[in-house]
Amino acid sequence: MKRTLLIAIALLVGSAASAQSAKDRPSFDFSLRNGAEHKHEVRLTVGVTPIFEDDFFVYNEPAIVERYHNVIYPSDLTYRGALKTSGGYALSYMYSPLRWLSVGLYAGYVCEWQPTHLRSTQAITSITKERHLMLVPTVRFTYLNRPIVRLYSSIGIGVGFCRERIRNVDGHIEANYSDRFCPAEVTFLGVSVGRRLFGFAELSVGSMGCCSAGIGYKF
Amino acid sequence: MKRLIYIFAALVALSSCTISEGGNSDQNLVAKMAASMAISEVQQQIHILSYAQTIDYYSQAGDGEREIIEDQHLPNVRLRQTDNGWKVVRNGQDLFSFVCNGALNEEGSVWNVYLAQDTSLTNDHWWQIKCIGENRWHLDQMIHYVERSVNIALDVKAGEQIQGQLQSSPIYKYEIEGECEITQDEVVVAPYRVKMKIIEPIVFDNYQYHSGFSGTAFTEGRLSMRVTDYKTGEAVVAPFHYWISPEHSNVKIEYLMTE
Repeated sequence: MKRTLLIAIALLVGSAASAQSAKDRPSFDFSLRNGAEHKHEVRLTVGVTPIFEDDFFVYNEPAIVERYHNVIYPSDLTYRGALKTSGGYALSYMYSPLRWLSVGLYAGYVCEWQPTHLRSTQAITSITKERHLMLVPTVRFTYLNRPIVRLYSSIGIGVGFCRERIRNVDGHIEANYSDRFCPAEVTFLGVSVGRRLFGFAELSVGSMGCCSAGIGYKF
Repeated sequence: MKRLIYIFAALVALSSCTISEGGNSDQNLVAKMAASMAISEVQQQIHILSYAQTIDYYSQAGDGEREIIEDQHLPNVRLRQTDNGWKVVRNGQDLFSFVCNGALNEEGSVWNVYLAQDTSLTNDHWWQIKCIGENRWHLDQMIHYVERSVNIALDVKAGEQIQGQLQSSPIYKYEIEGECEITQDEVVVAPYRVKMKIIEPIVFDNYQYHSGFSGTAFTEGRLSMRVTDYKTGEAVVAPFHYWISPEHSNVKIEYLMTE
């Protein structure tokens, strides 16, 4: 899985550059001028393995509630299955007042879901779905700024809204919670390749994932 | 441009993944818990019986022999005689009171047992040990803990002594038959009722574990178990038979569609 992702990211970055070669130039105006001259930028980002503070909470260990030993609780009849995520999706806008500095924000969305199974038959009794919407102001520092390749790091912290729904197999909503949270993202290393239209890949930790990639456009 | 879009779409498709694996899916967990609850109650019963047997032995012993019994079986507690029986005292506090109407091994004799210090117990409880033959007793218990009530009736045949100190476990070999019913408090935990019937006698004996450790354990026996929600009458798990084994990995559970 990881290898597939790395290959996909490499392909994306590579193809973003090759997409602008003279041989395969897009039909509309992607000029070959240095992209750094353009101060505005929009990006579409896909992140893998977004991390939220409650993702690794062990639901099956009722540590919070005092339990009597040697008794059976309703929760003992079921167990939580694997926690899965859709990945993170974001649309971002950045403005570069200086060649090495960009500021902006992204609007992101992440969905996570986890089934609850009956121990006796393994049948699914309900599915917990958690949707996260977030708005994260970001500052980006570009430390290599070449006409085609740029290396950068960034940091962002913002506000988020989360809604959790537990729906049983009949579709009936058993529980419905919503809460605010504080999404954060630190990109240790990002590389973008291309001029006006470019591809990028990032190694980071936070609400959009451990690694992310996407396409962007400067104007 | 098209290539970019295709690859971006592929990336979107690949971004979905598993963050963490699920919890313990052991489908036998509830069955094991229910059986453990019942076996634990049986162990308490024969532990009380071991105390009673030791007290009976002590009551009939001479002064020199009593010291040996205390050193061997009761190093951390003291026995005190009362008007109608015996009590077990630890650190100056009463643990159990035994009200006796004869020697324990005398057919027809009845010993009633009371727990003196336990805040988890309500007042509505009693233990009774009734001799039904040589080294054979009928044990009855009706006890209400805060979280559950237990009703148990066992016929027990005692064998030779298999270990020394009484503090942590029974000290004689036992063969046990009977049944018990455990009802959980609906408010405190959940409205579940566990019914256990011994269909092949349970044996408590010495056991040499695979790990080289030796100790006492329930070495054999088969239980018929039912776990139901007493409010709805529905089965929490299907009725099952439980084969006791001192090695956890050798415990066997067989679910019965009809019983």
